[in-house]
Amino acid sequence: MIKFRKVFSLVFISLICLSSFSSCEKAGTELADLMIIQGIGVDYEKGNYNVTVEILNNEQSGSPSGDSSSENKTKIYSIKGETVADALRLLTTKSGNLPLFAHNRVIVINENLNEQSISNVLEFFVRNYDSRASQLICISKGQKAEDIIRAKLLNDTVKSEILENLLTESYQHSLIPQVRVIDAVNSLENKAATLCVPAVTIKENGENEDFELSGCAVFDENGNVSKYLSVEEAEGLAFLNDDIKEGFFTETLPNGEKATFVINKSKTRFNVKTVNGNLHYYLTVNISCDIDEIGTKEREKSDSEILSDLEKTIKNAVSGRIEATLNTLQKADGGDCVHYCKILELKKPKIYKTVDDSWKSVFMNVKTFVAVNVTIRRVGEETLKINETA
Amino acid sequence: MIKEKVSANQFFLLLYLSLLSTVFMYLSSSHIKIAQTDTLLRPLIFVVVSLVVSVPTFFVLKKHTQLKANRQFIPETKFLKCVACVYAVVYFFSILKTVARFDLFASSELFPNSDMTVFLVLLIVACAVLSFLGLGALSRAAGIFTFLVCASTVFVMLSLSNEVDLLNFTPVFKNGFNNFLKDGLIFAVQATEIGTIIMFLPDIKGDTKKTYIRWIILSALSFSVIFFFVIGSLGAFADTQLFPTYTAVSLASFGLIERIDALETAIWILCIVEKIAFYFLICIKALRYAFKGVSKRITAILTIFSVSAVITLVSYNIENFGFLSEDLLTVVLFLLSAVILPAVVYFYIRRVKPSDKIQESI
Repeated sequence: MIKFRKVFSLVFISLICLSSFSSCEKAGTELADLMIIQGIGVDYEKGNYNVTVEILNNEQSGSPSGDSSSENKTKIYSIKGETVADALRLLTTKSGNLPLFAHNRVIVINENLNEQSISNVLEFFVRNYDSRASQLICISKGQKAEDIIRAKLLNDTVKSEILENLLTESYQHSLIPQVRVIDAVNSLENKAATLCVPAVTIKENGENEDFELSGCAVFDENGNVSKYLSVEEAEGLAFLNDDIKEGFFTETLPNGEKATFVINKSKTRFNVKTVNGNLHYYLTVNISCDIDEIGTKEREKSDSEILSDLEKTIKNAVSGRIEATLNTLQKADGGDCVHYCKILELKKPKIYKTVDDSWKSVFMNVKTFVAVNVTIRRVGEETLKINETA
Repeated sequence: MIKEKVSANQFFLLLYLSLLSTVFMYLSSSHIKIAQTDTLLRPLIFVVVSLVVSVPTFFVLKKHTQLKANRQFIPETKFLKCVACVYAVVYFFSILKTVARFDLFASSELFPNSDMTVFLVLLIVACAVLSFLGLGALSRAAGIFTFLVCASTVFVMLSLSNEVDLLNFTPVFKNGFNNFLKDGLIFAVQATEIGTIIMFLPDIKGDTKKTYIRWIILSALSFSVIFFFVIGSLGAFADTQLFPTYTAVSLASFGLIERIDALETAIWILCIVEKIAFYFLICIKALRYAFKGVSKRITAILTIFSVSAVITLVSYNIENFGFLSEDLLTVVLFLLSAVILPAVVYFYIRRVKPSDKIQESI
């Protein structure tokens, strides 16, 4: 009897397990019947959302012959709806397939949402069970989100994948912040913080088009783009957010020659003090770099003098980037995209309570003092100085 | 023949898995807003509450030790039969709460386009069948499952470590100490498992009291670690999510493995199955004590039928979930199972002597 029960239990549990191994969507749905969404562009015009999606062309992708010349790898559809969800659901009527949002790579949002805010656009992506919180977000600058999704790239590729790679690699190189759905919601939930999202534009490349980073869009409290940080200004954000992964920068040395440095490690520490009623932020950036290239080699100076010059150059470069970014953010209509409010809240909660309602104006008057400690870790395979005997 | 006696460690591993399933699918009270960092301190309240409410259980434990672990240490009286009925009702509701929570989880995150009724009924029947294997089998399985659950949870947490941002935390008690206290109490009263200890005392070998205290402390620590990763990776976003732990897990990836949430969900289902099977065991045991002569199968079938019927009704409408998630219902179930019923049992057995002849226990 016990043996029977054991066998019965095993079979029963196995059946439950087997019935749980469903496909991505409804059990029994073939892959070719799914609309595997790769990228979504959202525009808002005349009271309706215009949603453009790039979906995998399943028939072509699943071709046994692997013939990729006959058809494109992806298909693009645009459709209007009263809400983002409405438009996305209506897509089924165009493509005839069920939408699958789980593999979406990037959401492109038009810089001009008119009376709508970015929160309205993101609501669907936060609520929908299938939509992942780690999808990347970017803003289409100077053109429609639809144009970005429909860009005529050189090769027949998945455009959203190229865009995702551009955003990810630029983040890895500390050129822009990475903004996922989760990061955007966290910024929007904090009334003192300001959302800052990478901006993308299209640049003509002969007969084709390329994606190009165009700095970062800064949002106001109504969830609309209020201003842009240039590409150079956006570079300081990574230091201010203590989010340097790796990166490089090229600077002019005291002798007028150019040098390129590769960042291999960086850590920013913050300290906050109140001086005469004003908030002073003290940033200490500890950065470690390798030399990638130097214009010409020195003859007269010793190694230590050359290294000292290089370190000074890096110090000036880093502090210059940080100050440029802060200057732009602290000007009128700027905002706290650098988590100063959060740092104050954690380090001086009592002071934060007194200023959180008026943080925007307080932030504009915050003074920042930057100290940069540079370590040149390696100089590459070549010597720093010209070998006189040679 | 499956051994019914289990070690205290095995028994508390079973309770740990049961409690862990509650934590994984925990829904914060919607009318109490606490700061992110306070979530990490919730388990502290759980430790304090669990120790305080366990006083009657400790007295029963002491009496049980005095009686030298006699299997028949609880007398059979009409009043205690009524107590057994209340026990059955409490754990019947606990099964309902667990299945309803799993239903909400599965229908919101796993199979949103599917009708869950058949799946839920199958789950209920499977758990009832598993409960027939008895405490010994469930506890020994818990030993293996705990290893799997802990290993997978540690793996997920390590994968999530890159996502943790210290800026996602907040100052402690940012939204007030009272809110923290209320939230902590509501979290603590989820642990209806505490009330199960006295029901299985004769079947537990070893130092139950010490293991119980160790269980509370280690459980609280592990919950704090889980909350640390959830809050550290999600921040305020956690407040917008129905199941924040699942959302945090869905962010984790390891190399090419990007859907770790699928693995973790499978592991969570193990915990849920253990919990429901364990509660079925309690229900059936209590009902059989109360109604002598009724066969085990009939009791099980009745319980399966009742749970399935109620769950089918609950599953129909989101408002119905609200009733089973009511804080008041949770508090009542907790107080009954962890405080009042053990106190009543102690009142009845306090004068029992080792020489007294007592009939079948609960």
